[in-house]
Amino acid sequence: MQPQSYASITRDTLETLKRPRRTYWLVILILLALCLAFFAAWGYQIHQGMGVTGLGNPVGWGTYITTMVFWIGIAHAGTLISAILLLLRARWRTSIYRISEAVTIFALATAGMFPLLHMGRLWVGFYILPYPSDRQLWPNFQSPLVWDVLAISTYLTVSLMFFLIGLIPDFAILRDNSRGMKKKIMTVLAMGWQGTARQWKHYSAGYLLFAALATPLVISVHSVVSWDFAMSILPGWHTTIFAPYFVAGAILSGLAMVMTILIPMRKIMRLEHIITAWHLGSMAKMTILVSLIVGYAYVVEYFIAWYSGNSYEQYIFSYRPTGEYAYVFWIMVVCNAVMPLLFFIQKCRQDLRIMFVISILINVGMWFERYNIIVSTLSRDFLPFAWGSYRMSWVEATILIGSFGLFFLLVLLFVKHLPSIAATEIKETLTAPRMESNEPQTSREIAQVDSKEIIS
Amino acid sequence: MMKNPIDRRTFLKWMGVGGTAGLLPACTDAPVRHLYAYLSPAAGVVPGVANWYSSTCRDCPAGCGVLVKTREGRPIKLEGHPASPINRGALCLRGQSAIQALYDPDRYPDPRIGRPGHTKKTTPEKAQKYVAESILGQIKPGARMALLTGGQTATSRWFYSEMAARWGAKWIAYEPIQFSALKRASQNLFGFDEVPRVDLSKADFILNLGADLFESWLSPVEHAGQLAQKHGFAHQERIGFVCMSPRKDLTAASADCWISVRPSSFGILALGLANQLLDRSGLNDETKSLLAGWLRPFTLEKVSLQTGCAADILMKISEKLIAAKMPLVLPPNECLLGEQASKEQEAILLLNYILGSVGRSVVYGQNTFYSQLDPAREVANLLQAGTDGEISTLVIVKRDPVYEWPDAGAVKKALEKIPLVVLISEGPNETSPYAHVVLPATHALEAWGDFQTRADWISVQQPVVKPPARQKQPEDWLIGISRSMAEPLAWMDYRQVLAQQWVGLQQQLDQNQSSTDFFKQALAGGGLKLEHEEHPQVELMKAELRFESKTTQADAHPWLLVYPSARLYDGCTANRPWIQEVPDALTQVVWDTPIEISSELAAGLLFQDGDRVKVAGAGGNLEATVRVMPGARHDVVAFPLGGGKKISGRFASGRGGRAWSLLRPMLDPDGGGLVMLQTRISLVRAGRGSLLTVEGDPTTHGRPIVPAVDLKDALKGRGPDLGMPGGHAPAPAGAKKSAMRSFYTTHEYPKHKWGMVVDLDLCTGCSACVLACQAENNIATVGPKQIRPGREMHWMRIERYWTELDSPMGPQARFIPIMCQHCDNAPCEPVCPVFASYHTKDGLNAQVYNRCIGTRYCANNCPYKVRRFNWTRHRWPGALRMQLNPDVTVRTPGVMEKCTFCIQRIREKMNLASHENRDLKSDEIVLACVQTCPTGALQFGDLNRPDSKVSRMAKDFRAYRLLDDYLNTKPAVSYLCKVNRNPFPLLG
Repeated sequence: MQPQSYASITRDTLETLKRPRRTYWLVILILLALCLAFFAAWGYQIHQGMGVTGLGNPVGWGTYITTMVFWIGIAHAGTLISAILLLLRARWRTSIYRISEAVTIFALATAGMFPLLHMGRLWVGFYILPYPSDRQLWPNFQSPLVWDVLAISTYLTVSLMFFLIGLIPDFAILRDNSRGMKKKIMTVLAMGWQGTARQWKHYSAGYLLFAALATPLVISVHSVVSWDFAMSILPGWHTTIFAPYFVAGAILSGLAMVMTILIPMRKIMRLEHIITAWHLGSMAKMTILVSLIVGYAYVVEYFIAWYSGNSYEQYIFSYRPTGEYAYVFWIMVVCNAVMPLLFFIQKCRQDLRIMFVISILINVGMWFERYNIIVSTLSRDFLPFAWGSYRMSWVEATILIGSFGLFFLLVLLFVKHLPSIAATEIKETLTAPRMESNEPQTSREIAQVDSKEIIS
Repeated sequence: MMKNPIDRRTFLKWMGVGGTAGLLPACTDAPVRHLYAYLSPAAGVVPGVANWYSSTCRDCPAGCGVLVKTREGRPIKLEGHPASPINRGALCLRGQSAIQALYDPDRYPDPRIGRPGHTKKTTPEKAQKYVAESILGQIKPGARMALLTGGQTATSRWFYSEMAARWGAKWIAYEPIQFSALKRASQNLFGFDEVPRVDLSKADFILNLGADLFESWLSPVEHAGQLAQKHGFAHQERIGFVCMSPRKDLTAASADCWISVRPSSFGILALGLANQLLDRSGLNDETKSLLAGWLRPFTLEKVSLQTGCAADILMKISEKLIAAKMPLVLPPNECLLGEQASKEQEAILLLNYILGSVGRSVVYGQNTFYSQLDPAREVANLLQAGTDGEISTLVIVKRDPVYEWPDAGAVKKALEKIPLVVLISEGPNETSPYAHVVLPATHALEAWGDFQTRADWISVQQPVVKPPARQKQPEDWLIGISRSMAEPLAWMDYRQVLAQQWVGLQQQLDQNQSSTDFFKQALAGGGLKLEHEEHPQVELMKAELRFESKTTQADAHPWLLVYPSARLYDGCTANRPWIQEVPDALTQVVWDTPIEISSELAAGLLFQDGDRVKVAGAGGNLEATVRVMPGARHDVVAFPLGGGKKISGRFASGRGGRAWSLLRPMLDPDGGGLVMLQTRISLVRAGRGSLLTVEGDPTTHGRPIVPAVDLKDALKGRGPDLGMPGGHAPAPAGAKKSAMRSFYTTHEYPKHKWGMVVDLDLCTGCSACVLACQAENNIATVGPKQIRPGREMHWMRIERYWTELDSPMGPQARFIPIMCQHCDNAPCEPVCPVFASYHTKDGLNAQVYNRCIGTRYCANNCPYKVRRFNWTRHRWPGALRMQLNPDVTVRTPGVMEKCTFCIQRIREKMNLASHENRDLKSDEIVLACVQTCPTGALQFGDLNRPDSKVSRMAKDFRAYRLLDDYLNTKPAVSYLCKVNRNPFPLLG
């Protein structure tokens, strides 16, 4: 294989943004149809009332909240990979962090639909926002749902800024290599990036600061989401382990989703030499760690239920693996706590097909984990006479599938419009010689090299 | 000048397009409705203030007095009349639902005449004329007219006999649920051709042989109240109450214990006990020796063999009866009696006679409704005569023979042979397609009348609202027809008949008053107290009963026990969505009539809850849904009446199965009544259906939800055990939870703190409160499709748990009414993001509907699961919306709702007190559920006032607060636990 150089990376990056093949349009069309189904089902639900879902008494939350938590979980990969690993100076992040940040943004956007979707009266949903009203009515800051609104919107804002800042040098590449309207947009987004040493100095410092700012958010957002449950009094929800448990689960699902996207993407976009098996292998190792944490949380829940001597807790934890939703529980355990352990075997870390399958299984497992927590607890709480069960309705199923359509549509549009690999950062990792012999050495690139040395 | 890109024409074009686009969404199919201010209200009507009219509930023969609440001329709710000696302010669930019959969307607006099944709308005058001419034209030798009505008393009885005499008609007053065997037995034994009135308040031990006291037997609300007073632990007497019957019904669930006996064995059981008690009775020696002569063979061993009840238990029961000063044995509901119905009733009456209760608590000369009914034999004769062409005209008044006669085919055949069938009915019923003329009848609340079910009380019935269309009360139709026949009549309408009768009554009773004042006074008071003579000494006319003790052969097929349920009674309430949706207390099934099969039998046949089975009886077969009943007898299968209607309105049609179709029209040769326990049935699984139930899991899982204390502990003042198995060690004695130890600041209640106490020892599970709540608070019914996902809207539910599953007495049903507990530490409040759920200064968990955004977090977090979400847009078809209480918001889709402790009632009384510049009186506020409770199990009041009933009761040693020990929710509702009084310790 030809050694990589600045120019080849720029070329490869720009290559991904070329006019797509016909299959791309076909896929886009399918995803658009799914989006359309999503919004049509939603419209139908707004018109008919929440009765079109399978919800009722006592299970008031089901697919929507499950899917919301699922997408927020997915959203954790980006910040984890880009911010935390940046701080930890993990070099393997460089080729994959851009796509994982994009996953964060799009997953959050998708997740953000679900609180609206599950609201009985969407049209007055703005009551939950702290806006000054002439009647002095404020939201209830004691309610975890209000914390949710604040946490998620904060996370979205910071992630978006982090994402855009990271893109600045790449915007500049696009600006320099495009024409017309696109050039105008890229000029604005590149914010006058010239690649000077001074710019690099400030940029690097700022980027690091943002990473530091985003890192606690990874922890806080999913902790807050977990408090939606932990702050209640229901058996199976009301437990202190939920915050770390949910964060670990979120990271697991985020890593899995990034793998699910990267493995086909590198193949389709011919980026095998940039996103190498080594990168993916590193992710697999990370997955083992997180999966072990998640598995540990599962075990601790059972321990606490037994140790507390609390019969309500004990009941729900014996119900989960044996009751009506036992299949959900076992899917969860096998997919999240057992399958990822296959990555201990080196062959599984190297064979991308196996890795792809496992990543899908983790995604499935993580969805069922939230379903298991939400539905089983709600269906069996304190008064047995009031117990009930829940089955997803076709409207909810449409919206669940439609949300994948929405997410992947955004991802696909992204990879064709913005550099999905961070060209500049990969350039930083190159070994000399960094330039092709026939390439004139520009002052900008010299500056790039210099600035890197200054930082390190 | 710069050229304006928008010229005048473009502007106009866009305005046109924009305007049309703006207007189009406004084109909906909703009709334009105008609101007119109530400028000149009718006399006596103050907008916003309810008017109350007294009347009589006509939904069953008990004749409870009611107060009709009307707002701006619309009746919106029924409450029991406090002055009525029958129900004393309470009302059962059927009575509560009567208002939905008034606004029944399927009522006939107009008379119809024509070919049966193809009748056409016409005017009242034409219809009357048509009937009159047909009657006149059809008079031929050998054929006569017949009149089939329900039971009639007082003025209407006089009226119908007068009309029947005038037309030479055969008048049959028939009700499918009646006591013809008991009446016959009274005639045989004592010479009284009547049904006795039973007074539970004059007993100190009650042996109940199959009387369903709270559902349909004689006078349910009255008996429930009497029993509560005598039996409830909260009251002083705490008498013994033992049930023996083949079916474990609602009454059995409230009894000290239920002893299962074989079907058709009441007679032998009574004779066995009579034999035991004879020597100790106060009868004279002559009678004793006369009775002894033939009673002796009925030894306990023999009786034990035939009833399936252990001899030592029989011994204990007879000891109890001997020990009691005023024992009483209740005769069964006649649906539990077989071929020897009259003889069995005779045996029970004889036992009562030996015990001395006849003349004391079993009183003759008192029951004026059931005593005057015609037995089923008369209907059978009528049908025979009809089939033979001997009937020229049949006028059916508010009855449905095609539905309620076992052999529908025979009825149809007879009706087809009768040249003129006139049906006077409120709405379509199963007989409608066989009528040549259908005349729309008024509801009881639109009609004049009086009603007398006992000798010492006559209640009155007045119209509180005009009929919505061309309806008339049945009596007025008959008068109209009569006048069209050019017969001279002294009265223009039934009101004048009533006035005439009451003038007679006034002259008898009170000569000083004008007759108008006399009647008005009776109206205001709900009725009139009458002097009455009790029958003097009751003499035994017959010294020997020839009782054939048949030994029933062992048979794999169970007996079919058809019974009138509390909800559907004989089927007359089936077209009311409230009734269809209120869960049956024992089966907890809605919108269906399930077949109740014991766990044992179900296990043998491999049936499960919700299976569809083909049921084949002597009279026919049907398909029904299985409901497995723990603790039921394996040789009896119960099936409620009132299902299986096909064309009787939109809510009744297609719900459940018609129990009558399994029976033959088999008559008791002696009493002439219908024998209802007549067939064994075969059951074959037909497939998997689904059970429409609101029940989750019927066992408590060891949780302290419905704890009970044993009588001996309760007498020592020991409260319930609220510990959980395997749970936390109980708090050390003396350790009290105090507000001081709370991590959070507690709420302050400067003036009032509303609270409730529910005495579970008095709660019978009758569900009247559930319906009262529904009527008061505009609670929607959701229909059968919404039941399965759990979308029922009741703010109050009666949970029925099966407890003591391993007890030798069999599983016990325990009821607990659960409504919002109005917790101090309410889990619903902090989780609401928008303060839609908040705490008021007087201790209510209020819910602000128009602030609610519908996250449902509050419902998830409510440990009592009392919050109800509006999943869909609810509908009140037709006139049903007229019933809505204007003081309560009708909730829109997407908002959460729940029990508010009838906040509109609280505020009304608070405003009243504030207008009158006074403090609220203790216990002044009465909630809808509290108001209607027949046993007084529910109490509401101010917990801040030490003199209120609730604050005293909440400190009772039996009091516990649901889940409070574990969750520290501090509910404002306290429950007084049930007292277990198994009177036979040998049984465990």
